[in-house]
Amino acid sequence: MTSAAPAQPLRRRHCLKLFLAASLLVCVLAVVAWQTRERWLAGMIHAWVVNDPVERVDAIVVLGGGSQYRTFAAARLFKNGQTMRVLYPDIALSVEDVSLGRTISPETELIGRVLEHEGVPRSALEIIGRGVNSTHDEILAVRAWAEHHHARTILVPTDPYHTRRLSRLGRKLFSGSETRLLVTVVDPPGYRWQEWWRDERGVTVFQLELIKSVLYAFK
Amino acid sequence: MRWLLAAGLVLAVMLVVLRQPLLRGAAHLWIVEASPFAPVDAVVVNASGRHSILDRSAQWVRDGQATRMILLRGETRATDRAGITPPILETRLRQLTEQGVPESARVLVGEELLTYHAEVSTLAAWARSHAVGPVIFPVEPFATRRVARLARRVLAPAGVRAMVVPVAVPEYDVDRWWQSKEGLLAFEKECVLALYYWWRY
Repeated sequence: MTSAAPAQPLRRRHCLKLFLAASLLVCVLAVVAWQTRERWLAGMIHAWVVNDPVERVDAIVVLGGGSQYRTFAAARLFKNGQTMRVLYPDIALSVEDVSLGRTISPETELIGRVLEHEGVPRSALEIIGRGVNSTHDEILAVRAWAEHHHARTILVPTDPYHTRRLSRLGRKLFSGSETRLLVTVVDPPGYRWQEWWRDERGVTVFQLELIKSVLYAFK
Repeated sequence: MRWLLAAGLVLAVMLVVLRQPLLRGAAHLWIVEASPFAPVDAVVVNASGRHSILDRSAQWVRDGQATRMILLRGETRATDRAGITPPILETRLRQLTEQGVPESARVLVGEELLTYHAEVSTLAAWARSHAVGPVIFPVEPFATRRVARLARRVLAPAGVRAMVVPVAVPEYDVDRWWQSKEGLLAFEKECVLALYYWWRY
């Protein structure tokens, strides 16, 4: 009992030293992280993005949600001779579409119009799926098409941050199949994706993609 | 320790049981509700192109709640440049004509405005060289907190008193926002953007 008494202040002093050292280390790390933020944020985004080499494929797919740029990229790839067929999904109608009596979503219609305008003949176009409203639904529709047509390779041009989730989903849904899903980056308009933290749009899109990636990981 | 565990368990059960009023309450705390207002000089229509905001704004002008409408010009889309779609602004002006808002009551401000910050800053710059009285600024419900703060920090120094008014959008119901994907994403996005705006502006 008497020998344990002096050990108490010693132990307390030791804990205090440890706490101070840990606090100092955290502060130093925080300062280093802040000073080098541009480098590691840029490195993080480059590690995140998947960009497969573009090759000749059985079909190119235009996914919903980016008709203002993905569609133009798909048309360019078609004109470069990368494929003979362009697929795009039948996107689900919104509440507003239903109330307006629409039977096809404005985005599906717009994708078709853009592709034709950009020189993709109607005979090369095909709508896949029915009322899709997520990347998962879209890739299921692509898989059904690929199985039916015995396709070997399919190329999807999409936003940089979306490529990782799409690529992972492709590996999962096409595992055991003869089809490979390739993903290529399309520059989104309005911000530089390499510097997402500098712009409101970049922040919005990147954080949303992070959340969706986590949700898809548990799906 | 046992008491702590029991208290934690009770809290967890309460959170589950009371999740609906709690989530609804969180949304209503977040949304900046506008108090009733007297007739104002103008209603500011942002570049988002939302039908519900345009319709409500047109109604305020028709009812005499606002003398004129300040329309902020948004981005020119790739399909507009290619001549595939008519510019959003052109469509909105046609809708306003159909809804009885005369051309003389419309003012077009800015170019290629992509964010609320760009819109509010452009409006403040414009207001410095034009006489602008009190304005109504209708926005989607969850964006009210962010825009109200911007209005206080950017519009007020330019001499513009702005009342930010939430206008319901068809994508989600603020009383059940957690039950739809659109509502969840809208609330989450606004929380992140509110932080971003607080840090940046």
